[in-house]
Amino acid sequence: MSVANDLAFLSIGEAAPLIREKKLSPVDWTQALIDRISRYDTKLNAFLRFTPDIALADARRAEAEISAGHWRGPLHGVPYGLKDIIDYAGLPTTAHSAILKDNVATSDASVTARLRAAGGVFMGKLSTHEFALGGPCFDLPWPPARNPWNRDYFCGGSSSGSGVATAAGFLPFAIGTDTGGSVRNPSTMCGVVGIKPTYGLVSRRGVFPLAYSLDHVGPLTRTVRDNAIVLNAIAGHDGSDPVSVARPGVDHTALLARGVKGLRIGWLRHFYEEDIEADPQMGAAVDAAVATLRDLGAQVTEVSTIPLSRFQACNRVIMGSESYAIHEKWLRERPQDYGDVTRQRLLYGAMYSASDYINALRLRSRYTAEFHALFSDVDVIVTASAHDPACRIDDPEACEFIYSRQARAPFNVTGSPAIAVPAGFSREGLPLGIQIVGAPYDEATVYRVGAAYEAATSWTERHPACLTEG
Amino acid sequence: MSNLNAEDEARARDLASRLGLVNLSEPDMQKLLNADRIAQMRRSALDTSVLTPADEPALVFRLPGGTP
Repeated sequence: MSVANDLAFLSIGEAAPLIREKKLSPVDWTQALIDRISRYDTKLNAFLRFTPDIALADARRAEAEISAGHWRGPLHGVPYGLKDIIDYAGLPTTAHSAILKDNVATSDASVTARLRAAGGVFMGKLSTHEFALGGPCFDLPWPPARNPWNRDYFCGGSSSGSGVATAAGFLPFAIGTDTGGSVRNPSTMCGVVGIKPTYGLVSRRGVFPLAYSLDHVGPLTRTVRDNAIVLNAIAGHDGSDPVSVARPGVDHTALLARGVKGLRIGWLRHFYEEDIEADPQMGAAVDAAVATLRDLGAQVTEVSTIPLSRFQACNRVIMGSESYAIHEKWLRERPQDYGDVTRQRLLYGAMYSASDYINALRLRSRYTAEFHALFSDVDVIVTASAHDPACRIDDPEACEFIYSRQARAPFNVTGSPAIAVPAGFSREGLPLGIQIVGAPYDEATVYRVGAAYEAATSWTERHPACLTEG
Repeated sequence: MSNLNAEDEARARDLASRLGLVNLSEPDMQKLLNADRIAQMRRSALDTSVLTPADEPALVFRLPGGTP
């Protein structure tokens, strides 16, 4: 492997001690990634706004501070990107939409401020589905991001650029958002690790909303350890976010090396075997992952809960109602400034009545209580993330078909922490994945299981080669 | 151009007017009817039969153990 490739796929866990010991220059690392992005992102469209000047200034500042003996922590000098619905002061937050193309943020989002305080190196704003909802779209001011494992294929969304940039070796981590699965979908499609933390754990202030009561902010990384490191930096109470929770700080890396021996794992099989039958390759990948965890010493028992279609309806009625409230004015005044797919999806929300919305919220209370009761008998739950591998990006019917074939939305309804972890590859060489779900605020155990599975399989050590071939 | 028959076209136009979505284009009339159909499917999938008057909405969603 070349030095450039080593730097492209360096993990935060590997880089942080090297940076601290001054064996790796943040400026050199940043420059190597700038070169890689400049060379290859024309093929993938991960970035909406690439900011190498800001990145180099951040990297030089980090290097100077570390040289002076002031190391801020494991993200000091580490490059990252933000999904372009997250504010960075002085730069546009476009939501990948003509509607907001001139919308310049006046202050940082909370998550941006936390990363700035941690000494992160800001590389730019990343592609998203329009307003985190409509995609892939070819009728927007910027093209959609493409899958780095095969650029003819969909990369998932809505945090599409975040998944692509992380998988392609452009960035060691990126921040995404998740309202019905939008961190975990691109994570699975691109073969990276992405978590939707517990609702309220990471502040949403400064993030353009899709649906207030379902929106979560979470990191995408190439390894489970890196994901826990980033969550440590961005989690925490924020009084300016009304749903932010005040809890004692937790080290999410604390249990990573403990393995799963004796851990109680609930196997939520009916989501992908009965409720919505998964593609056989995806179903087999989840089954194999459960078998691996059992071989590692976990106690696996099958669990069942509310049917997937019920959860999905609850999620979609809430999402549709809340997003329509946000977009109604623009839909009335300038509907043609939205992409076709976005306009269609936003219009669903126009059709729900107040009682539909309230009933969905009433069901949410029930579903949440029923689902969380499972954790009296198990420590985590394993199920599918996506039901299908990626489809071709130029096939709108296939993209629409797989859009709702997923088991992620239930955990936006319940607010549970849920992580997508790579679980192999399809015959076509496209990533497969699993999902691990925990009890509220128990991200540490979710990471523990993810790390044990990752170590046993090494899927996260594979990287797409298509950029450097041909 | 819309592919709707006259009756559907009129229904879509009426729906758009009642919603105040008067700037939608001809092709958007099909989208509006699609939205109506999909929303109806999702509404039907809400299992309201299990709800009793005591079931309260998660208006301000909070998890056990979390203090906003």
